[in-house]
Amino acid sequence: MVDILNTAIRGLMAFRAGMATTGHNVANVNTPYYSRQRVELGTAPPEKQSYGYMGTGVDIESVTRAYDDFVMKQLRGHTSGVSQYEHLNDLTSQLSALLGDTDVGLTPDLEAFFGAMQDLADSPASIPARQVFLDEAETLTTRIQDINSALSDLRDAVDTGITNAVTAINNLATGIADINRAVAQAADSATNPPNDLLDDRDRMLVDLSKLAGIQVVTQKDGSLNVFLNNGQPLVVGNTTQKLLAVQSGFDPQEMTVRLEGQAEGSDLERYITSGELGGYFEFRRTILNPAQDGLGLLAIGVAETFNEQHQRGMDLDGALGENLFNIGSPRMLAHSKNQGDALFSAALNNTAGAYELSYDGTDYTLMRLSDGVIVKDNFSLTDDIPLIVDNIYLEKNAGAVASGDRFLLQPSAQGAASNATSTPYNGNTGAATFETRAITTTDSSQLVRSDYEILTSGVASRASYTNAGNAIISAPTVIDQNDANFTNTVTIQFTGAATYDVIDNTTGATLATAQAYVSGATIPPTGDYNGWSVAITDGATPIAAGDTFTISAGYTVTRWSDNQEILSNGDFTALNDVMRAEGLHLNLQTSPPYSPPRYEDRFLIQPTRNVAPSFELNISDPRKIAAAAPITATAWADNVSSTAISAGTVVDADNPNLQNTIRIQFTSAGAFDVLDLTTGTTLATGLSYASGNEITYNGWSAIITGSPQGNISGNPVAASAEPTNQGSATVAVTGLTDLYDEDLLNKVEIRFTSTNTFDVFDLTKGATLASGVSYTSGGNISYNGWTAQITDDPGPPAVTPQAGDVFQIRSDGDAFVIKNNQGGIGDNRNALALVDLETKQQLLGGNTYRGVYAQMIAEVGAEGRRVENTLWSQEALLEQSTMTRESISGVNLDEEAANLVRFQQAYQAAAQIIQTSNAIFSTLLEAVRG
Amino acid sequence: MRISTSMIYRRGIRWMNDHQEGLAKAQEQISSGRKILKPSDDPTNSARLMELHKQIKLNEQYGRNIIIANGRQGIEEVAVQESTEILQRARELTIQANNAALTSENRASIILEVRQLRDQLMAAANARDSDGAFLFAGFKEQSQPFSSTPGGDVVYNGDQGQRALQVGPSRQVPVGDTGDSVFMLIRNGNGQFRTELDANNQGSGTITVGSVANPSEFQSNFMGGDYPYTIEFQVTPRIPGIDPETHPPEPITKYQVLDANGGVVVPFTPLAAEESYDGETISFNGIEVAVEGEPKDGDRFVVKPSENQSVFKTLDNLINTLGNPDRTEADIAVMTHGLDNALTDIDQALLNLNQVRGQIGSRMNALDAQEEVNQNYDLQLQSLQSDIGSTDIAEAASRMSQELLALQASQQSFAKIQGLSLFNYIG
Repeated sequence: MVDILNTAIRGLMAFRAGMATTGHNVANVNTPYYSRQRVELGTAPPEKQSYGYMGTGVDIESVTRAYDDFVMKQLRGHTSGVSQYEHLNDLTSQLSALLGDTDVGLTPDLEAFFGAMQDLADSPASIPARQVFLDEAETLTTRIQDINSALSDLRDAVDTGITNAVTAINNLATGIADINRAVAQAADSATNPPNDLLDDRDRMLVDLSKLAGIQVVTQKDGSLNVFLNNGQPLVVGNTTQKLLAVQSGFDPQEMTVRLEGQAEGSDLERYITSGELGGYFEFRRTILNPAQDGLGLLAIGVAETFNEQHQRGMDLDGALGENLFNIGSPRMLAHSKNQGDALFSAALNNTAGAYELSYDGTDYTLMRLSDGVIVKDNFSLTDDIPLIVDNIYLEKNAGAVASGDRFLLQPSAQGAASNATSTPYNGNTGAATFETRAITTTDSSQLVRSDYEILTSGVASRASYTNAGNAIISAPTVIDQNDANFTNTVTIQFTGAATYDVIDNTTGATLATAQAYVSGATIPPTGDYNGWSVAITDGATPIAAGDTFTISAGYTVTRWSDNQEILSNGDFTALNDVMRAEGLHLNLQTSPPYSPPRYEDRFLIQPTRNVAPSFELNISDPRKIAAAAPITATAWADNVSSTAISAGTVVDADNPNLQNTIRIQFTSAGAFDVLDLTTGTTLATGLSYASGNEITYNGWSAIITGSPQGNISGNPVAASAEPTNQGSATVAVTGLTDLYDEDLLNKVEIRFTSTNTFDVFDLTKGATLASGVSYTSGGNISYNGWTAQITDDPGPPAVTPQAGDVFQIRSDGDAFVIKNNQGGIGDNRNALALVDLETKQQLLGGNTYRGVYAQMIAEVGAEGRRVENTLWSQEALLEQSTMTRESISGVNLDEEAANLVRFQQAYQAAAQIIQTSNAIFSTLLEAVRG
Repeated sequence: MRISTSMIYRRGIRWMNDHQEGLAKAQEQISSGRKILKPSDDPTNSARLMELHKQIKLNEQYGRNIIIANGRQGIEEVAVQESTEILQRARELTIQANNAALTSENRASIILEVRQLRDQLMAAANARDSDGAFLFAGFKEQSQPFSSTPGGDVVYNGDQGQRALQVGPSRQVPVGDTGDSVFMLIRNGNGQFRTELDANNQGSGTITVGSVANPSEFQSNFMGGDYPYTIEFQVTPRIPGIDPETHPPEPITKYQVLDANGGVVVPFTPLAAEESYDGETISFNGIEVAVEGEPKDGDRFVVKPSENQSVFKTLDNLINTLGNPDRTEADIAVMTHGLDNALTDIDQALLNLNQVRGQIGSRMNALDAQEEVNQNYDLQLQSLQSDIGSTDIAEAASRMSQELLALQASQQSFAKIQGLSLFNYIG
């Protein structure tokens, strides 16, 4: 018989459990990620009676939680997204606030700086205006440094954030592993899940997904495996894989992450794309780096262009301008795993690459080797008289040049003192040499805001530019890249037309001597040198003794901004040809002696990232601001025609002869000579003239326009007797004692004070050259570099000069003088050129300084907008998935209240049944007692 | 959909948050007057705003530069005007002096006045601007541009530098003129060539300043030839005893033109109308001159290209001429010719000063025009700036009241909903 009491007690227990669970739910109404629980009830096994089955009440089958795995997965994903964009947004708005807009940030300082420059141009001699300009320049440099150090603080904050996030990830991973163990140990977890433990684990997973995007896979035993988004495991069962925050291989100051036990260099940075960590990495890569690069570019652009122009000017004391600003060089980082000790140094490019100068017996031709363009042909060169072509300075030294001679020009980077000497081609017969130098024309417009990774990817070959023959060398075939000397520089040197030696330049070892050369055959015929072999094949011109071929380290360059491989296994020359287009010039550092980069050695160039801290003012004396141009070009005051000369501009401030006094002397209406009066040399004679010709010497250029008057007498000076003379003595210039006398052309009057004495006045200088000189007919009168004679009129009767007679010596033929602008303190030409820089589009592919800054702000703004929008939509998604989870798992108090009432009532009913059963039992007892 | 209790709170709070955020933004836009509060609000337009801001600032700077430029031009104009008046007086005196009735005492007093004018002119040429810099020294603005030498000549110590100011985006206007272009580099004679009287002439013949009749011939033959050229007269006296009826009593006068090397440019040519050759034109190498008065045999006139001559030299020449004797007819010819030359030289100088004044005027006009252009541009920029960057108050205000309304509604509904709970009704 069914025990009614038992049934009632079962009910009581079940409903009490129901109420307890409701209580648990109500208590946890505000617990995050709590899943509401419910008691699963089932009918208890019935008892079989002869008339059928009799129910025995209710059983508590299990306590389950309202839970949806898919919703949780979504929730974790969206949490990662929100967390990523929250951090991104937070950092981006900090950065945005730093860079500011029209009213704050750098803009007001840039404005004040250029305003002060304009005011200086208005009053170039004013010391207060100069001081204000220096103050504003100082403010600008300080401000750029300040912004940069604030950006560096953000970088530090990112690093700290990464370290903290990694610690938190490891703690959570350990927690999850612990719960995994507990879950697995709860043997009947499949039917009676440890709900609160699971909720706790879910909370940890959500917390973990805030830090980094994760994938979760459930195991049969109820434990979860957690992977990073790229599949790297963090938690497997009850074991964890530790994540490490480590220094980046290139930059010890930059933190990145790696799993413990993983090789250095295989960092996970690029795989972690969501969560807090993803936010940090994305911020650093896509927002902070370009912003700091841009700030550096602005600093380097202002410094380089202002310095360059400032050096072309003259200060208040007549000295050439110094650098206005100091600025650091691009940063070069060697990877910590590099095998070799090689180092590069990087600088802004101002070289022009290599040129070939050839001579055909009458004329020269100059070809740029990097692109094969002939930049000037059929020109002549005079010994020691420089020429400027394609922004390089070229000067022939004394020495014969033979027809067919060729020369390799590698213009040196900078400075007048460092002219590079040409390299003659193999087979030249003349002994001439040339000097060359790149004219300082910094072009920051080619700089890209990007890092460049240089990988030593193998070996590359090159036939020497100066070879007499044009045999071709194949790309090396790699046989053993692990050879210890693999990347050493090796020269194949021809000792005859068909024999060669092989020398390892790095070690100095001779690898082979007197090898027989066969066109197209492998070198060496068997085996390898240092792990490679090559082949040399005849070209049209045969190989001559002295021709060389070089095998050296090959480099592959990747531009990080667009992930473009811009060079594939080229040698160092090819590397620099490529980097020149990026506005950079690289040097392999040679002292102390470094070995060549080893195979797979890596280097990173950050062109502008770290230059801002070194951006500072170089001059502090307001007199040193070079507002004036260092030269003046003037038409000689006694010119007969009104031909004009332009004010003259400086094209090469490094030319040591820049401020020499130059006289341009017209010998006829269509020809002129150019004389350097300072050095006493004739730079050119009989140059043909056309109006508007640009004339360039000694680092300046000027334009003459009009119809000049040549000389009549054949001399640059001519003498004449005034028609008002009483006497009829005649005068003539009989010779020149010093063609280079600066006063040669001065207007000089010989004024007779009596018939046998005269005074000599220099009317141009306003000086008395002599007085009371006694006169002899036909005697030499020499002043200012000329000799003249005054001769009595032979008569008869002879007539001598009379008192008051005047003889004049003055220039004959138009002349122009270019000279030092000494004393020209009111000159603002260079200040105007500096002002002009403000609107010149010379940075970052044709942008102004402020344009670059505005672009930076716009980019950060656009990124900020994208981040804000994405954050907003991610938040909406998270909200939605949270709502979905809440809808499934969340506690509704009304519902719980209803449940409470329901269970309470059921409980009361069950209690009533006990009561009833008790009554039945009493009735029975009473009946028995009867 | 099942609603959990925390959802009710979350939603309520979220809605209120959203509206509060919108309200704060609208309020900030209204109170700051700026539509774009941070670059991320509108990246493109915030970059444009920066560009506009830069243009406006630059324009302001150009405005300042124009004021400075105008100030300098004004000071220079005064000095040039003063110089013009001095030369006008010198011109009047020259005309006054060119009068046969004048005695040497009269001329002496004129000399005194011209000397004074020369000193005044010197002072004007050495004028300074408000900063104490010399106006006419070129770039060497701290050194006195004009000074006298012991020999009595005036030299220019400045240079040919002419400062320019940036007054527009691509416009530089020179301010000031150099002293040599104003006072020194003045073509003497008629500007192309000048004529001189040989000091040993005996006759009363003088030569006019002449003119260029054929510019191309002048350029190629006169300038291209061996100057100076000499016009030499040959006068054949009347042969006595021949019937004066058939042979007039006047002498026969011929002239030839020689170049500097004695080469004949024009062979001996008789003057056409012997009775009145006075003033007959002599033409060669593209020029025309006339000889007036009566040259004697062997009298010579020199023609040579114009040279640059300072106004000071011109006044010195005038003073020298006025100091010459006037005893013989040759003396008078020298005097007349000297005064003629002085007059043309003064006219050349006046012409030059007028040109300088004209340039100053046109530069000031250009500055005014540029200022107007800049102002118009500024107006456009300002209005564009306001279009892009300024808050549309009406729109922002209505947005604000909408947000306010919505916030109130959320608050009210939240208050109502949160008060509902079944627990209130049980137990």
